[in-house]
Amino acid sequence: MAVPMNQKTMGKAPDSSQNGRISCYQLFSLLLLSRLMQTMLYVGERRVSLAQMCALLFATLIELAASIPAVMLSKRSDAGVLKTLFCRTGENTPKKGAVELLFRAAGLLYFLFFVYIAAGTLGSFADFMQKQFPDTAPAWLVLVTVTAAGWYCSLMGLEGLSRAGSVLLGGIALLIVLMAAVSEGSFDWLNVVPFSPETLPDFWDYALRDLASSWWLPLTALFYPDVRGGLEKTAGLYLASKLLLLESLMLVIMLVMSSFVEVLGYPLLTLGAYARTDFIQHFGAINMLFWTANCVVVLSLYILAASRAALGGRSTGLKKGAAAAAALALAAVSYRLGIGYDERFGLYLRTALIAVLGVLLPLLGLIRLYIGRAFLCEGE
Amino acid sequence: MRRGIIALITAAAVLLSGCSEASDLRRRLVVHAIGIDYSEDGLYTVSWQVFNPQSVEDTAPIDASSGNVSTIVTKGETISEARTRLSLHTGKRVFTGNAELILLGGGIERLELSRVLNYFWDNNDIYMGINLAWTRGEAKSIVSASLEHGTAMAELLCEAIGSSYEAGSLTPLRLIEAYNRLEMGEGFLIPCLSLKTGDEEDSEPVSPETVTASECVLISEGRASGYVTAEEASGIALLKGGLSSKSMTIDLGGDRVSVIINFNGVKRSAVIEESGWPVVRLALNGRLSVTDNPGGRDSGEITEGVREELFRLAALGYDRTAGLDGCDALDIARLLRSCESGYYYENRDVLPAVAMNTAFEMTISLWDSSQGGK
Repeated sequence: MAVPMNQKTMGKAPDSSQNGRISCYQLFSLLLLSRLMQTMLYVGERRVSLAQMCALLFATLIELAASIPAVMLSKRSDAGVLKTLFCRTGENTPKKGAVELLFRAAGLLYFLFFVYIAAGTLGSFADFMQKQFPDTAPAWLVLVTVTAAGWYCSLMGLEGLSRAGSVLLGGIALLIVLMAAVSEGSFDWLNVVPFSPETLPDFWDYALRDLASSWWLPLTALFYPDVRGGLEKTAGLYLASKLLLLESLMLVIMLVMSSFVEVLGYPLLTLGAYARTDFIQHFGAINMLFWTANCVVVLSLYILAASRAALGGRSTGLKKGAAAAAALALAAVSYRLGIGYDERFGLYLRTALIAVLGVLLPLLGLIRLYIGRAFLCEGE
Repeated sequence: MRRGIIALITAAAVLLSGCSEASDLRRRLVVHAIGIDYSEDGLYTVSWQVFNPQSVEDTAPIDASSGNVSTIVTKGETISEARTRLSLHTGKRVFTGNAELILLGGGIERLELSRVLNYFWDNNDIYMGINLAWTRGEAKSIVSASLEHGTAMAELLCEAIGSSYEAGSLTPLRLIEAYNRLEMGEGFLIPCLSLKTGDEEDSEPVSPETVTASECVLISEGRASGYVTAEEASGIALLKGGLSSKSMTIDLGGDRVSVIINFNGVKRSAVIEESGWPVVRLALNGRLSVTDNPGGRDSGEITEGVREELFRLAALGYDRTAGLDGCDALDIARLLRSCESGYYYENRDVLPAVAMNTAFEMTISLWDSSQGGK
């Protein structure tokens, strides 16, 4: 076909199928923000020790192995984890009847999981605000405001959210580097708590906590159709960044702060306790600004994920509203009753759900691609 | 249009967040130093050194000679209550985020230190790296002392401690460090400030008052257990490997020689001897600079004299702490945890006995910078 004289294409031609998709690096920034939020809200009950640092490495290696099914699935199918369980391609739909019911049930499980994660984040954030900044606003106002902001951001879609996330990640990285650079504390190697049989419970406890915070796996399984390829880069970069960031943070806190982290509870806030410049006398306000922004971004990511998975259909404004309302209600009830989602039962439940939604279902989808039968899907 | 409104709301949330509880500087009480005394009747007397902008022009900087630094004293059954009264007495909002120094004074020795400091650890306003110091006598008298250029400002008091540290006499203590030491059950030193007036017999006739940092208070088992001289404090810091420099004057057969030692390498390790008690091995490397040698003494002689003086100081430090009552102000427990963790966990219930029976082996290598030899 002849090309008109006034039309010229340089480099790669735009691919219409890539519109609305995000890059693997943008997904990485959203996943890392989600993990950072968990670290920000983590209440340290024990002093940081080498056992915890080893546990982080151990958990990261498990996560690396656990990410293989989702990454391999993204290479072989563009249908997303839910549809792949039943169909080979995204255009087809599961058969009516029992199969469709199963499809919707799997979607509902993802929906409930992300509502639970969103509610946990919301409740922990409200708790953090009440403990550290009690005069700022009552808990109910924090819950409602952040949920409303998160819901609005989720309406912007994954693309808009990932752009905001990239900017925010840069800001948080700058803040952490600045706080570490202007810290007036000095490293004391005698603060190192060595790995010993006495610190073994710390190892298992922290490994469980870290694995229970690895919901990047179900997020990846759910969002990979929206990524322009390179999911292995997302996974690798996420795991390397998480390991490097958290290990560095633990090392600094152990060497400089020692057991003081138990007083403030929040490790990142503790880092700010020793930081001061002539211009910034107190990092609390800046911390709060970034934490609030991160909470909104991360919350909208969970709302988006829940609505994407809800009952297996497309993500709609109504579903996003339902996810946000459900998260708010659950957060309010658990906050009122004083149920923390970092309780031992919560940790086991989250780990089990992550294993099912982030590892087992992608693995089943992968198996289904090779040995699946056509009777599960319309048009195959 | 809708995006514009959203952008405006977002910008307002960030830019105007400080306006929700805005308070004019005149209505704020900016605290620089906090002095705490404890009376027999169980009341805290808290002296707040504050910046008072109303006494001078609005734009005047914080300047003691201008009279815009003053001290307000309040009482309370708790420190929190004393702070509330400060606000009630002055009608201003108290801001402690700028405070530089906490001074512990008369009567505090009767209390567990963690009970006094607990208020500050739980206070989000206070900077956790704030300096902590003890005072001989009442903290109130130091916070409100009148030096020749006005009130003894917190910055100047911190500077006095900093100068002592540079001379190798005292080591500053921060609020976080106090928590960590108390939590570990360790002993530690708090620099002590003393107020001297011009009419005292042993002081120079400085007008009208002067503040010095020349001794420390030893905290053992969570309470103040006595004063420690600057020499003993130097010895303790030496054994902990915490001295970065030390200036001293030694007597060599009647000739006085002044030197500065800059320590550039300290290695500490612990091993368990056959007797079942630990031995701490300490290797110090330092560069020696002779600052005054009127008798023209030989370099080797000076180095040997300095080494002996350092051994003497270390012995003083040991005798005042671990050797006296097993007070672990020498970081023995943490060193054992690091080097001999099995032994540490087995014996952590009897650490005072372990500290008392711990021996120190000290090696000092000095390099005379003027000679270039060891």
